[in-house]
Amino acid sequence: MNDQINPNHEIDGEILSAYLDDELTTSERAVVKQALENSPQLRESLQELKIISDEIQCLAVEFHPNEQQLLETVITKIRDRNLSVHGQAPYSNVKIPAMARGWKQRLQIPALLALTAGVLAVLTLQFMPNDQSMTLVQTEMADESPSVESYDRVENNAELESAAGDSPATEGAGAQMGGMGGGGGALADNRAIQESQKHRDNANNLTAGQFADAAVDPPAPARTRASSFPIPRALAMSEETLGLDKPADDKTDVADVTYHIQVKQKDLPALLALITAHQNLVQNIQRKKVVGLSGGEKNLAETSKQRVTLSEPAENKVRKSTVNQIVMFRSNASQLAVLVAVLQKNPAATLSMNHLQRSALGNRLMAKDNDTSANVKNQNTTTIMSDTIFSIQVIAIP
Amino acid sequence: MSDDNKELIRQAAEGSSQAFELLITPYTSRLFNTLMHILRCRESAEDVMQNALFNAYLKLDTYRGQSAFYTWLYRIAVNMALSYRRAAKPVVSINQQQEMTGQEVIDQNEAVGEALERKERAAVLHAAIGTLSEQYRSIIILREIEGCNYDTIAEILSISSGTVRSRLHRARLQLKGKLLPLLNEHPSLS
Repeated sequence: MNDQINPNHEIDGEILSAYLDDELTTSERAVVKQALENSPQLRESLQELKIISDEIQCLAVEFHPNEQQLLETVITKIRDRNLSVHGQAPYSNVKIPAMARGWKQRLQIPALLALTAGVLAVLTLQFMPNDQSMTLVQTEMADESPSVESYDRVENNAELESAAGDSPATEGAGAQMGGMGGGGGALADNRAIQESQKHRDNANNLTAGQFADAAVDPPAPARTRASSFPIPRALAMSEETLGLDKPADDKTDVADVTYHIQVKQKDLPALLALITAHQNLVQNIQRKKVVGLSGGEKNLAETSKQRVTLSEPAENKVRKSTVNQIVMFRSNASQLAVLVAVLQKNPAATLSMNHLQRSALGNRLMAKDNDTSANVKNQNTTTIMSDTIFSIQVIAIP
Repeated sequence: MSDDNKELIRQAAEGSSQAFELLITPYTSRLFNTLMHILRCRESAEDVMQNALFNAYLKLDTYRGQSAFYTWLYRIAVNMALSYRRAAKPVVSINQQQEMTGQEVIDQNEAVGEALERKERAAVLHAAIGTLSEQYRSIIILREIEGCNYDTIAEILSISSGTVRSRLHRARLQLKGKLLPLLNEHPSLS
């Protein structure tokens, strides 16, 4: 193959074949080209090879596997193998990616999920102020809070931004988280958003076991679910051992991006299954489901809806939708890209996103935009940090 | 290798079947297509594919990233397909032939005589490819159908590029011997 072809070299079929495949060097090609010009027989041989090659390429039948079944079989086989080898559930030996180590060292899963839940509250309140789906989430959060007044205060973006501006956003989010779980009426006291210590107090209400339940078990009704967050001992422990008492650095664990995925109600199960199937790409995945409204919740929701309608008429489908599922997780840009690519393949889902950008100086949450029609591919990736909390809100529309 | 692939490979090597699924999904259709052309039987192709992917998972920690992941995966799968063929020596059934060409099995001469339709031409072609020895057939498939260059084929089949060139040429000569007379006799085929 590496024998150089010189002008006196006999051009055989093998060389012609390689010429046809563009596998000769530039000088070799020149020699063959010259020979072709001088030899009708060579040209004919080349033409014959080309006909055969073209025929194969044109007529080749394309076969498609039953991809889903095939992958399922392989993955099942792998899981069985993992179980037999490790004697434990697969993935339990999966390490948190390098990008996540900073987090891992400072915080561990219970605290992270607690923070994540809090961030969800902030995200939801900030970016969907006129959305019925937000109303539902708020209602759920307010379920165990003492008063509608506190709910109203939290909903107020101006107040929230003000609060965030006075204290690290993470801490504000943590305070929200406490309220979200219904622990001790933290949400009722909106000052918690501004007080980092209060966040820790609320976060102290979380146990690892209950947190795991929240992440894995099927969603429970709001009231049941509400009790699954703040349990004091776990966070007391995590505060000591995980460094929660240390000030957050500039890579504060705050959600940056929210994805809204709109699907038809009938497509919801498939999409959720898809996200669940790829939760290895994310850390600390947590799912919530809004399953319905109690009487009090409904009233509150209606109150909120009326207020929304008055202040700003509904402009898009989101506002008429219901947040059926909220999936929150922590990821990095590359893993997120993979997940988004998977989700984008689902024709039923229309991805749109909201940005939350943290100000470098102010270390606070800022609403960058709320363009629900913006396509994911247009996202400004520079705003996505390597360690980032993302929120996926799956919104089912009729 | 893309960063995404690196990360997925790392996670899969550490035990994540889901990462592995994401890793292989982009290649499954293409790989299956190749295996179908080599094995000419859907069931066999599926069997080999499943085993090849499982083996790839088990061997992930040996993947050093020196070649493209696609090439590495192909190497495992194609070699398994060739071994499978050697061991099973399958006979292409009527149904398999039908699936390969998308039509009823037809007599080659008769097909040429009526060769005006694409499917009939495909039947002739696939019949001709089917007569090649497996080492020639795999090279023809990787080159003409998969569009692999000589180096990639060499890597997948664990042979030298020079061997690829000579085998490919011989495979083409054999095909030419089978097809050209028919094509010349019925120019509408070409």
